[in-house]
Amino acid sequence: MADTLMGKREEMDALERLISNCRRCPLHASRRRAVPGEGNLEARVMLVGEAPGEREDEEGRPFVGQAGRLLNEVLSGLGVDRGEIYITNVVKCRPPNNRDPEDAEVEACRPYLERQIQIVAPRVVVALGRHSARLLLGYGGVRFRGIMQVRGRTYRVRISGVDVEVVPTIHPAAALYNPRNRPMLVEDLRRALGRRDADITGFL
Amino acid sequence: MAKLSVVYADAREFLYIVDSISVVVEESAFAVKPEGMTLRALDPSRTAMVDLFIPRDAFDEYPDIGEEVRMGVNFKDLKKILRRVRKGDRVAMEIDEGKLKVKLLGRAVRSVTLPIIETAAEELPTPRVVFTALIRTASDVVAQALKDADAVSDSVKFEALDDALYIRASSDKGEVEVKLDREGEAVYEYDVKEPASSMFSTEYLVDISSKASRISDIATIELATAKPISMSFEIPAGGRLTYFVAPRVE
Repeated sequence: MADTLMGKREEMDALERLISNCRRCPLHASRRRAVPGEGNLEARVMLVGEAPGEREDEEGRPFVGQAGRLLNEVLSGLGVDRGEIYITNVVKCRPPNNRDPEDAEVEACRPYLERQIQIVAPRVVVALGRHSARLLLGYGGVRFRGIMQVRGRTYRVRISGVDVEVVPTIHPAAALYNPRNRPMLVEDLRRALGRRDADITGFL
Repeated sequence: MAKLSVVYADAREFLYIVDSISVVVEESAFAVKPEGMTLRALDPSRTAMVDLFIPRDAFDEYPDIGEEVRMGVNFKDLKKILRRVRKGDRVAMEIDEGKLKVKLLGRAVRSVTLPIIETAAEELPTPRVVFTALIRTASDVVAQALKDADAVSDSVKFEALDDALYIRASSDKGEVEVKLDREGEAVYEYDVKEPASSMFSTEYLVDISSKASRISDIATIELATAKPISMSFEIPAGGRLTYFVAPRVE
């Protein structure tokens, strides 16, 4: 596992090249650009959405459409700059007509997300939406019964050798379509970003 | 290394001890020392520490040794074996020729050999905290309070005042408050030199207290403001299982 920033950058660059040329599932045929992810490679918190939408597919960057704008607003309301964290999706290519990603597509993309988690080695992974939550909680053997049932708490999970706390929450798009959902997104992100456990070795 | 063996009289109790340790750490080493068996380990995210002591008298058989011998184990593997115990079984752990042999001693002797896990030989210090509050209470009361807190929030606040210990949690799902009155029937000792208040991850504490309370009737909680919590569970035959969990910071 790369532990210097330069080492992480090199590994992530190589991974992004692989993702951009990936043909592991049929989504490659309809994509304009793959969307590997972006942000701070030493981030404490990683956000994992579901899949790129139209705007993301155009720009090759995650969360740059309407849902992305809402996410940026919530983050800045919590005093967090987007550049401080790392943002990616479960599936790196846009499913046609923004349909849900299929299981085979999620499986095909899973090694890329695992590698990103190994490289960044975050302490907290926020699962935005049900596809992301189902996948990430699955590493901890947590039975997924819907995002409303699992949100509101954190789960300690080991993903490819990295111990993380998974914070499941609703997708920003769900807060966009129904503004009454927004306080849930804000509260969950505050939990993930605003609070953390101190390091016990600091007291030894 | 010469053959070395310890025998614990109740295999099920030993399973509960191992299960309680594995809340914090997947792999670590038991240190067999002249005065008894110890284990001290950090969880991978360095939020919690577990510190076990089982005095030599608690064992049916214990070696006479001059210096400590370490037995590195994977707790998941060890639990798999110990889950098969029968009532009345004893458990032996033997180191022989670089292997760890776990024997369940009952109507038959069932042996499983595990690889010895290499772990850092250096012993960790325990946190140096000047605690200002101490509450000795029933372990199951603590476990129940934390389960209540876990139902609404992933963080829980412990506040020790002159009159009572308050365990509180709140979120958009609701609010929970558990009060342990200093004169209450489940409070055996209450010493607050200075009020103390700290917030912790519920998940660590709920896991710790629910596992440890299966093998412990009495727990001692020590607190200081914005410092780690110490939860020490009294286990059979004079042993103790202590956890330190770092506080949440904003």
